[in-house]
Amino acid sequence: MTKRQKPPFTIPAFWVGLILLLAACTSQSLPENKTATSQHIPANTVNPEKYADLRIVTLLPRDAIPAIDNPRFLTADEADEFYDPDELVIGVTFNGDTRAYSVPLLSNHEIVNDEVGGVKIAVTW
Amino acid sequence: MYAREINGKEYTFGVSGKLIRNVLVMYDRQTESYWSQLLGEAVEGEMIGTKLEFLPSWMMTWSEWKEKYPDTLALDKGGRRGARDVYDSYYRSGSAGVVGETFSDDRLYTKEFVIGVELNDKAVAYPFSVLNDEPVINDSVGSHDILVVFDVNSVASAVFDRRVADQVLTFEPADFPATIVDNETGTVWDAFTGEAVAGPLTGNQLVRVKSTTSFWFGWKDFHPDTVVYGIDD
Repeated sequence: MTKRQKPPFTIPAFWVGLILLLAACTSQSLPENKTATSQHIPANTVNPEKYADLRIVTLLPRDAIPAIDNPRFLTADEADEFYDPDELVIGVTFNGDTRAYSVPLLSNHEIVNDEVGGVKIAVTW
Repeated sequence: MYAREINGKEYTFGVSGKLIRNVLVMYDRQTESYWSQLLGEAVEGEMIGTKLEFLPSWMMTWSEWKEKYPDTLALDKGGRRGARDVYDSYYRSGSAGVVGETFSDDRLYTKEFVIGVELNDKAVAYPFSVLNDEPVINDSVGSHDILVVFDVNSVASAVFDRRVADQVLTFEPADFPATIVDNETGTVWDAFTGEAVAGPLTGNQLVRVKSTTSFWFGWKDFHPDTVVYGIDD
């Protein structure tokens, strides 16, 4: 697991330019019942040709960029010491539980697996 | 922002180290299937074809987020201060990812931010530069009537369905960026949450529509037929 523990800034600079990020600041119909479910389509019903032209390119080993699995949080006042006023965040609020994720930090991790107000979410950047 | 519960089962995601058209490919640790971040869909492995549910979120500045939600928590950055980003030089450069662009399209600057909406196989990109001048846009995409709202100060954006109780509403700025008003009923709506706050439709809630904030080159590589609002019209 040493790889997962490796601080992100030790990723060679060469690779840093290679990983792309696209914001997935996303949303959809806001169900009142926030129990999140995604539909699983059985594999045998999928036309694989749909994905044939999506060429997958390998640039780094798996988990070379470590996702965050057990995120820790600060209160807003505590966070003011570390967050710039103009720093971009991705914000969510579910069932009274409200959280912000620093976009610059997300650039080092790409994914945060979290649970907010009972909703299990993947914050992706 | 995705739900990671699928049919009642919890999944956790990691970074695969792979890209599709320069955009992150995730894998889930339970089945090791590969998922395209931009599509929100498994593209290889046992889960192929499965779509993740999009959840509403906002991308905006810390100070304005905190102002709206003083009780917010904030991800512990492990002592890091400030907004320096490993991608700062990448953001500023003109290069489009690492594997080159799949489709060449110079309607916008490569790294211009756009809000992308895809409905019924129709894709429309709303460039930040256009939203600067027109922060409330009433539009139709794939026969859905939608509303795009942009706050230039906080850079927060949201896309809503304009149909409320079988009526299609058209909106314009009211006390903007705080509120918008619809022309049909005169109801005042919170531009950020989509909640009706004054007038006949008070208590109603505009429904968020899936949108993606991304660089132009990422959006058009996945949606080469995309319309660019304000450019193509």
